[in-house]
Amino acid sequence: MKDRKAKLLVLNQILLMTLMSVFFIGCNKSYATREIYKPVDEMARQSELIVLAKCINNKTLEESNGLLYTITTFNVEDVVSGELSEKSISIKLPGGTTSDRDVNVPDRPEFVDNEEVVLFLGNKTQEGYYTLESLNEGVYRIQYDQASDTRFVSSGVDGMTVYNSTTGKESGSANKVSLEDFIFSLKKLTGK
Amino acid sequence: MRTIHLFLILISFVFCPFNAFSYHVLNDISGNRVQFNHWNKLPVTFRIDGGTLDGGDGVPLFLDACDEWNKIQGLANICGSWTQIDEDITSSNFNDITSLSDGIVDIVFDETGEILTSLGLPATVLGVGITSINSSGIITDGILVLNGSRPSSTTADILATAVHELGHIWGLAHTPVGAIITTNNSSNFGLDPMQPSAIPTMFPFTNPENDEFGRTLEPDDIAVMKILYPE
Repeated sequence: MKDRKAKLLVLNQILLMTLMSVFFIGCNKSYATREIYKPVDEMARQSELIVLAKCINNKTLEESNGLLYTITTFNVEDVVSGELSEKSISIKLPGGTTSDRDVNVPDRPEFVDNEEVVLFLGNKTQEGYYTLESLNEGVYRIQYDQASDTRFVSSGVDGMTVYNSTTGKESGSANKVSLEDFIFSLKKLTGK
Repeated sequence: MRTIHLFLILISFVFCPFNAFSYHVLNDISGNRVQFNHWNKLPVTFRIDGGTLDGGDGVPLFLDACDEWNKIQGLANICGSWTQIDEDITSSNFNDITSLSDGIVDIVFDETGEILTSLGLPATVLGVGITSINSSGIITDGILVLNGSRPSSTTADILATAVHELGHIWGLAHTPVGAIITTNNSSNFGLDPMQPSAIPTMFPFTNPENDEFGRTLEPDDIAVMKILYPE
């Protein structure tokens, strides 16, 4: 009887894990509006600037045609690639929310205060804002794993060789990449 | 209790086979309610840029894109009348001509890609479908911008982009169906690769084999429209 219960319990767990895996396969990649897909190595080489940054402020702005924009300001914690003298940068993206309406730009990246991200940035606009090299793909969010006291990048690193930041050697698996390894590998890739 | 739990899950597999669709809809979450964003006033009407696209008139291309959605059987009439303005919309007059408050969707042909750049979008963006949604979840207006700065090709087909962006105007979000083959060739999570021709038009990236596949709607795209706009 106990064996049967144990077997059922295992089966139950397997089933739940399968369902969760199917869910996460569908959800672990963030999408941008219609774009040509760029693997991370290509995006890194084409970016003017790659930074590790912390979001400190979001502000909504309305243009005369009713289009809303969101301006997000970040404190720069590390310049991974490129040159930057400022300690903070801002990006301006179409889309935003006011009390009575929402202007939706499909999968526009949104940031919350104190959120840490790795940003792949293109040129600075005339207004002084940076553009993302690729919309949602140009943002790597960071997750903290309490058990291992490690920060990880939340998106996949398709196309990039990942190196261990301690040993300098190629890592075996690229499924879950620590922030340190990600930044180390990006610096190696972009020659910094 | 666990046995009953397992039994119910197994029964659901037998009697409720997996839905083949994975469409996503623009939505708001209010408390424990999910509200699908959609148009209330149909058909949607359009104001079209007086400029050109891909070296020619952009109107036939827009009408072809509209036809693709209007072909869906059992759907309310969604693509309505249109007028073409005389002016060519550029980055300098974009804010003056387009409007998100008159209920008419602006179709903008961005010949040089400058409008998309001035909006703050990356050069990789082929088009964007922007919608204005009120607090009740009703789509009240939209702006659709097509990037004409790169010649249409099997790598990035402009008609496929127009069909895709119109999908956003109707309230459709991106579908993850197709992600396995385009973004993770090395590890397909044990799943069979998908036929490129079967990737839904609402997949966010261009089709890796031939982007013209995106010109026609797939069951995933059609299913979501039937949910949002039944006849």
